[in-house]
Amino acid sequence: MMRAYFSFALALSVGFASGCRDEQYFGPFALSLPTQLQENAVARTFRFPLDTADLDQQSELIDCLANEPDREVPCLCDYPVLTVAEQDVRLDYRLTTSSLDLPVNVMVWVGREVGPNEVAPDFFPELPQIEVLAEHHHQVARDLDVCESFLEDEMRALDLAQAIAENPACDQAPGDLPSPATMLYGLAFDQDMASAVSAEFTFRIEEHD
Amino acid sequence: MKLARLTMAYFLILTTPASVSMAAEPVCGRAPSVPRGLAVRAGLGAAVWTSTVGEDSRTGVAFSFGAGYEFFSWLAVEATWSAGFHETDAPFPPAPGTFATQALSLGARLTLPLEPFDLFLRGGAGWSWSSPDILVRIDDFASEPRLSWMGGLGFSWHTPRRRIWIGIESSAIGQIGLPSVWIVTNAVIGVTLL
Repeated sequence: MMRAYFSFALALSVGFASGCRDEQYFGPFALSLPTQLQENAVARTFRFPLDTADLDQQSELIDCLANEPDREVPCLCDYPVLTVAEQDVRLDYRLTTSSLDLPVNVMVWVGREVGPNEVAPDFFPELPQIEVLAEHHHQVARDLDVCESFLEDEMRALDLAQAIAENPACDQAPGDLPSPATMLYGLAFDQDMASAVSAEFTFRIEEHD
Repeated sequence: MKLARLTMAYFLILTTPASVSMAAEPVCGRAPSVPRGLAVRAGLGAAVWTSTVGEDSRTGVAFSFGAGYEFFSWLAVEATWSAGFHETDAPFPPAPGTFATQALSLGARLTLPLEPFDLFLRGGAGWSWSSPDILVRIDDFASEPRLSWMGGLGFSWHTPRRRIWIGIESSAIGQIGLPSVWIVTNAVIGVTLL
């Protein structure tokens, strides 16, 4: 009898825990290589969703930028729309190929677009303004799909590194630093134009209070 | 006059025990064995989705809580909250996960009382939602509460322990705009309070 009560209480608590978690999924987003222009790299931008509080903060940021353009502490430090600790992001993807030849070498990456005043990192000739922050390398064979993820820890680490690099004037704790509102993700080929690879991506975002 | 008094006394002697006996009859006779009125219940069981959501999810554990008021032995109004937890069985991505489906329904229950058993049908409307929105390939699978209908059936047994009843019930809940139906089957224990 006690076991039944315990099971019921456990189911109840698991239920409340998972039912109340603020977790959202986005996608699936499809990419394929080579592109229609026969390029070996392709990128997409993902814009993180903003809730009401984020939008309020965004309004304050815009006001600050308009009213105090020469502020000592950058407006973004005091009015961050998103912060590093605010959300956990996971990027899941599946790679497939229909190529009958040898396995295809594919790089899946996440990164950012460098600013106009920054030196172009030139990772990909087709996408010179893109800086790759994290990359996974896979061999994809026919009938052997690759299912992988950029996990939360990996994404948080690169988000934090990016936040520190982009906001040197902010003196907040690392978790309170401004986090980018967009993220780039994509695919790159290993110069094998005879092959074709398709990918599907989904984002999982868990928000924290 | 004396005859009249004797007749009256005789009448009283004859009728008084009978009156007492009639008044006491509900106590000594067979009172209604199944109390009816305000009742609460809790259930534990399993839930399954049909159609497209069912193809991308597994059967999961479910529970429910409900309250109702029986106006008559055959008619009650009820409010029920049900929740179920399903693992996904969908193409990658996203990675496999779990989602919870919840439904809040208000409705009526029609009962066929076959003491100590009740057979019943129920129907109603309310809201249902699933969270998180992990089944990204299903267009209308949204985490916001949506209008939904509910229909169900079941039976209960009023135990020798007065006011306590147990049973099995099954409900089908469908969201407006989503072709899949959520079916919840629970073993239930209930208490009639008033």
